[in-house]
Amino acid sequence: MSNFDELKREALLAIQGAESVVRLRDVEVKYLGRSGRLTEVLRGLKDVPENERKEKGKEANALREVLEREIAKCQSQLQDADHERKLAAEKIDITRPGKKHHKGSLHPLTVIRRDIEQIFGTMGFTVAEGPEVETEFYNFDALNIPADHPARDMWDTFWIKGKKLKTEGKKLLLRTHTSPVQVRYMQTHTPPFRIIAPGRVFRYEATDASHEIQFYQLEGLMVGRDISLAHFKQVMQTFLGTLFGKDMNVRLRPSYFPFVEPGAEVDMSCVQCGGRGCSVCKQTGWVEIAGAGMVHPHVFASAGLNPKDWQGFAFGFGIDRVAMMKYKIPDIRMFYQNDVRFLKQF
Amino acid sequence: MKFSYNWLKEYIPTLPKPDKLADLLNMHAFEVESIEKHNKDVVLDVNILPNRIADASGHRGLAREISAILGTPLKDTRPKLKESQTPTKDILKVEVKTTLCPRYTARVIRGVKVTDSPQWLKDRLLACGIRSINNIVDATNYVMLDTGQPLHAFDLKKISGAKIIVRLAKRGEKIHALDDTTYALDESMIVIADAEKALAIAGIKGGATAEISPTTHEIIIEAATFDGPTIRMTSQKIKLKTDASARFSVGMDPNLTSEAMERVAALVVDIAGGEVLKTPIDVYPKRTLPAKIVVRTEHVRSVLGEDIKDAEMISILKRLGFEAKLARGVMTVLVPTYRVDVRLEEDVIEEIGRLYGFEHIVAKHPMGELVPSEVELSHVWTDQTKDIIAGLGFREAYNYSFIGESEIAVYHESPENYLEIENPTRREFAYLRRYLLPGLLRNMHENLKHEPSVRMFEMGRTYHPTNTKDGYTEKNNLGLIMAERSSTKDANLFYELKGVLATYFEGMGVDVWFDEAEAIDAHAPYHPFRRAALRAGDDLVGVLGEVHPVTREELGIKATVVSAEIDFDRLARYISAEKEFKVISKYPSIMRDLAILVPLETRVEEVTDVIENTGGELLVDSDLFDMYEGSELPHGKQSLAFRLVFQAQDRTLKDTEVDAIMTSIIKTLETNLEWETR
Repeated sequence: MSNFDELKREALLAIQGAESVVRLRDVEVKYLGRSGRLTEVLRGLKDVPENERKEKGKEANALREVLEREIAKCQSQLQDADHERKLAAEKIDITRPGKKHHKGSLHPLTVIRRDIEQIFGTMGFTVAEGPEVETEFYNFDALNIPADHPARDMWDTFWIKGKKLKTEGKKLLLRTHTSPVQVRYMQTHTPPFRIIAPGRVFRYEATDASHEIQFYQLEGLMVGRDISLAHFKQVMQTFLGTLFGKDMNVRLRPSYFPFVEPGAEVDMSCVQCGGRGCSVCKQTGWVEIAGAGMVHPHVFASAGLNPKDWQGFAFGFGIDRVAMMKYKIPDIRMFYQNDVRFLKQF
Repeated sequence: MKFSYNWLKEYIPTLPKPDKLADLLNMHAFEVESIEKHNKDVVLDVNILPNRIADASGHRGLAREISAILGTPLKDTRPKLKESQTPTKDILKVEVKTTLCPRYTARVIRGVKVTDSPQWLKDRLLACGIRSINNIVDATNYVMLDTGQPLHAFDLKKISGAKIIVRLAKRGEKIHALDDTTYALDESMIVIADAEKALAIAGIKGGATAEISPTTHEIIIEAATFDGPTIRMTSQKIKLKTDASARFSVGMDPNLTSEAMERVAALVVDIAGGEVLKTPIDVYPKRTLPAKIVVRTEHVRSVLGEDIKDAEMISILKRLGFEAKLARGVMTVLVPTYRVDVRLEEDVIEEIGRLYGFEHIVAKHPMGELVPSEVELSHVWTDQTKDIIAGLGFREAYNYSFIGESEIAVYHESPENYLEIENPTRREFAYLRRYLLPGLLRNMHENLKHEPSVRMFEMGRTYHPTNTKDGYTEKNNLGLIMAERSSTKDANLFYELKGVLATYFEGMGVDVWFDEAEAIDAHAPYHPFRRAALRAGDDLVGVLGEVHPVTREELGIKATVVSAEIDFDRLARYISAEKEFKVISKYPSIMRDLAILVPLETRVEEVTDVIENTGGELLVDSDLFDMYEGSELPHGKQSLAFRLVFQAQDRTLKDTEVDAIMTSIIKTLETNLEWETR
């Protein structure tokens, strides 16, 4: 009896003392191996008297189970520790910079155009497009700006040279606004409809921080049986509020654009100061944002719609200007210089 | 246009302070661009747009507008004019020979003394930006600033035959004007002439012949109306804009001349003395009458979206000097002739709206059918393209639509193939681009100055003259460009961009292949041996290549640059919005590597063609994963390593099956005696 207890104490001590998987293996061999201590005890059982043999055998086997369990437990602990050590040796410096990948970006005018399209899209406005090289007819005549009208002087125009390039006796030009899309769309669609038409427009003028010879405009048009100026005010308020992420007020002031009647300038509350007055809005609390009005009957007529049947609003604003306000860009010319240090900020 | 606050105040004694006045004008009529102190006066710069020049370009007109806004009456005193016994018609004859002059009014004043103007008059003119000349000319200018009606004074003695003739100019006729410039006229222009020659370019500028001088004693004052479009066209042709031409261009109210005439005659007598001859000459064959417009009050409410009562509408119109009679919801409106801009029902609606105050219109949500917005596929694909390419590391650029001759030369093209601007702002912007590359190269040049590596792209319109009815077409192009400052002479950048394009085409689900590029103009700026044509179906959709060393060196770019330009509209024909799921085989695939030694000039495609044609349908993928040339290899050879993937849809492939295919591939490859599998 006592020699089993002795053996057990000694073996357990050896197991717990093994500080590596290899040492533990040695211990296992020493006690449970082919010529291990316990194996020898078991082997010696044949010399034990019959009456004791059964009892001793039972005890020896129980001890074997205990030792095997202990070894397995210890082995798993040692393996875990081993693994841990290995992983620790693989420790890396996470403060080193990551592998460089080329980062691309969308132009700020693309980003803002998408934002705007999305907002109007949720209000049911379809995106329409038109050519940038236009005819005199679509850019002026159809918009109630006949050739001999002084209102033509309100748009400084780039003309396309060449006698061969005449369409229906009209000269070609670079569109000075996106308003021709109104006419083109109305010619091919039947109201009611609501559209926006973003696009590049051109003005013959001297450039400075707020003027460019090309820029982007967004035209809007909503036509139905009873569309009113009050509706326009609401649509504009909703749009601006969503775009700038805050409550925006809209104010209309009388103005003159030959293709709308009544016509108005549209002011919005200053994004900078929220309408209290600051240097951006010249202390007025308002910033001019768009031109708008109710579609002129002559425009309906030139697009082939009966002005008696339809009414609606139209508006236009500079996308560049909105982007300048939203991103606080001081100079419109930056949009077309394509300096990577500018582009990568968007 | 500049307006004197003090002057306006003479018409409206209770005029609000300048700031308040500016607010009122801004909200109801015209934009006030500035308010500036001017001695004891305040000058308001008011932006009178073309539709209102006829009635509001004078102080009286603006005061009339303010009185309508305020609802206070105008203090208006008619000038008292004493005429002499001599009738004007005994001294002066007037003959109007063109219908382009609807009204010609003239007076003669004798015995005037031409001197300096009194100080108050000089001050008024100066406040409005007009230089004082002498009391006669100043009087005409003053009354123009007051009434809006341009006036002109001639020296009667310098007029041959004491007769004024209003006629069209003769071809080749010339006039030396008061600005000491000689203008060449033609038959489309109107002149004021005497029996011999032109005395003035009608409605624009007086001539030197009958100029008022210190020795002038007898004057003719003209108050006339001329056809707007004619004056505008003349002014453009002779490149001369004056205060008079700006007003006449819009078409002035002919009924204004007599009133202006009475005022100017009274003022002349007041400051220069003289006797005003009896009864002015007034050639006015067809009188302009007030326009009559029928306005439905319900329609007014519908257009403005605001519940304005009928009575309020009537009251607003009366304040504006309109007559309005209401019967069963319909107003019959008589518009004073000076309001040349009010012709339609909508024009009256605007008048009601702005005096009511646009700011009082309450915003309302439109009500209607919930119709989903239409989505243009090309628009979606454009956005998708931008996302993919930006995702692959390219920055989006927006370049000018304009280019110059030197950029056209890069394409070995003649400027005749380009749309040309008639009035460019500068020579470098004289044409419209046909390609995006020139702009992107410019961006590259600038950016390489501060960036070691640049990748950019642009999507934009290009413009092409054609023989079609319109004479041109616009195309949407996609351009990509990349460069690395440290790049060596090898062709890695080309393959990198080729890989970018392949990823993009795969992303769009469009089948584009790279083909030998032809020698065409569009390919001229690319390296002749490092360029590829992009083809989809039967179409050439673009080009990919290293930018020709000469081209980039001319621009001062030292780094290797590769670029691609794609006709996006043409490419879009091959993009399909439809996607359909293809069954993924549930049986395992078997992979085999194959290395082959081939001569350096052998093209990869030649080898892949053999592999794919021999591999049959069980070969589902073949990838070139390594290319090697080096000293260990026989001279002039390169090693290509492919990874082949075999798979069946209906069963697990056996090794023996794949072995058989591999053997057959190798055998076929080695029929080329210079190719050796390893």
